Amino acid sequence: MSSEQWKQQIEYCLAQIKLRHQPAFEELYQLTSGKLYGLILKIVPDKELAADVLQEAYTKIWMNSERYRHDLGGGWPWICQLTRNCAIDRVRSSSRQPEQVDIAVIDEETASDDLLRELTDDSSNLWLQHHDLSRCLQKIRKEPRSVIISAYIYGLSHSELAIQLQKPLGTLKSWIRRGLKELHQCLEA
Amino acid sequence: MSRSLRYLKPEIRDHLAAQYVLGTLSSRTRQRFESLLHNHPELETDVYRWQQRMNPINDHTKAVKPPAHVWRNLQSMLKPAPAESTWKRLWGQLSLWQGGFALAMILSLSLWLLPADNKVQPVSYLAVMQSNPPTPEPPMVISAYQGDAPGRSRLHIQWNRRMASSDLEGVSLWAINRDTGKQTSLGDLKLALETRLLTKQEWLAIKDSSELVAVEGDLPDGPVRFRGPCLQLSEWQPSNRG
Repeated sequence: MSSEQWKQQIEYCLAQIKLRHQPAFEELYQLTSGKLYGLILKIVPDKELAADVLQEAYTKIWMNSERYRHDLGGGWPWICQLTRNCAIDRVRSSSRQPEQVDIAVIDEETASDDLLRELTDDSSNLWLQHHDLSRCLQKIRKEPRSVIISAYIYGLSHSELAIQLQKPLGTLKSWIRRGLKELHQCLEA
Repeated sequence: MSRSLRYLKPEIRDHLAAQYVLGTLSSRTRQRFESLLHNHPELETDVYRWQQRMNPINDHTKAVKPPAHVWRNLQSMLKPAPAESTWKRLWGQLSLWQGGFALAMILSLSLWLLPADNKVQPVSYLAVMQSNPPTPEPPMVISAYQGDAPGRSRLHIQWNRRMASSDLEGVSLWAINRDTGKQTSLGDLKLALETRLLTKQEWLAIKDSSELVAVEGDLPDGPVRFRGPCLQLSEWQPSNRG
């Protein structure tokens, strides 16, 4: 199944789930649970806790499917956002200590995480399908790019990023604000 | 400038939407932001735009097989408790006071609709429709009456007179099959404001439905306006097949 077909199938499932069609919910789970579990594990490394978050996320998908607006955007990004929010809530409610996040994962130079390394590598093939975001991320300065991607993948808060990178909180916020603004301008250009 | 007016400024909206999608808002700020989403459609549009923009990163996350118990737990969440009757399960979907209100509505409707003579059929199926998002009281009841011959069964909407009726232009009604989840169109909802006759297929779709759903547009996946569990109130007469 191509990526486009896969996303269309997710749209179809969500439309059916809005009508409380349980087989569609099961199909959605088969289609997306592996990806979502992988996504959660980046934020909540503990496998048991991550499994709890996954269950919570699907419960919310079932309960809140009516809130999904297919006229505004895709179902897969909506599902990812809902899932990331659940994962971020979980780590923040369990008071994750900043030192629990390995500095190596958020430094482009020493990134121990394959995903981050590939995402920030100019020559990576990963971005072939997503030329716009890739091009625009490469246009912004290294520091804002690194913190934006790290915040997104690992669900790190401003203060967690500040501690990890040993930068003042104000500097971190400024990097993110400026980076997002530049990203917006580039993607809209 | 009031807090609410600040969200009219595109640059503030865009900045907040981006930080929301990125996940850097504090829990408290995020809760407040989510409550604002419902009142500021532009804010919601900005959030969807940022979700789309950043999502390529999620596309590249490696899949990891989740533990089997996650799906087992989800399945048991979806299954109704075996000891419960269908009636109890359906009523359980309404909150206590909503259930009480709906019961009062059904009883008063039943009294009103019960035949003065035996020629008039009582209500066969009834759905107390709740708005999406929910309103303090259900806004309408949809009732179906079995006719004395195929094609003579009728569908009727009764507005809750304590609430303002809303525009039903472009809203279609669907019956959801209780076993398969299949949706069967029951046509434009507004047609039922004037009692209308049901085809045999429509009658059977109501008979086999767990729920009626009214959505905007002609397709079943449109935004849901109203929905309600479909209750059987009188015995089905197999000799009169709709």
